[in-house]
Amino acid sequence: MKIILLANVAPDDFALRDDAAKAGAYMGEWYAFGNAMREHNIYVDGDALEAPATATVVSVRDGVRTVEDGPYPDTKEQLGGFCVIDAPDMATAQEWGAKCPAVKNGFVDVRAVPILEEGEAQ
Amino acid sequence: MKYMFLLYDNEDAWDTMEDAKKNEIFGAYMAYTDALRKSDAYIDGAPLPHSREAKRIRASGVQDGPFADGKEQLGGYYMIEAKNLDDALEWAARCPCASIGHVEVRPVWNIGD
Repeated sequence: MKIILLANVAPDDFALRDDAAKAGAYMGEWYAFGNAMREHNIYVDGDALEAPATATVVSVRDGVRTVEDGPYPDTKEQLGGFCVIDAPDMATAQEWGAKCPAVKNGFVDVRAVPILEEGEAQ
Repeated sequence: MKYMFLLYDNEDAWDTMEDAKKNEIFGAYMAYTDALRKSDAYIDGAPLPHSREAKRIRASGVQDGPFADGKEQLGGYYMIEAKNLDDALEWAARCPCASIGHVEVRPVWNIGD
């Protein structure tokens, strides 16, 4: 089954990306995580996101568009990246989620991705 | 440039929604996805089941969904290719979720892997 791991990153960890002395070690954890998933042939897709300060939130009510600075919702941890994996079951996906570097100071949401037939929404 | 759209809406509303209304929204999503594809803007996307079926993993342990940390929950996402942020915001405004919830637009971090 396809499962998405949503890596919700703590503010201090986002800051490590721009910390010249620490970024190498921090990003190394992510690369190691990605490599481990690839070695186990469960990795399907994934991306990292720019910091939450770059987020924009769009809504439309009664035809009127509202564009605000994000992120949304305004929680402490924010999505820093995701990966889609192909795992035999939720339990296996949870084990992989627990290995994600975001777990140390933030959290990872593990959610099933439905397989849609051609022509279905999205 | 690559952008991720995070679709937030009131997931509980789907539990009690009439089929006709659901089908109307599904149809709007199909038309929207089709428009993205025709413009070569579509990369990927998926709806996500209710967060009651999800797990949240922290260093301190695993929490079962649903996650009551906000009225609206992440209910799906799109990955799109856009010329720039303005172009991405145009697409975000056309997303059915913008009219029933909120669409968060996040630039993908090009870390050159």
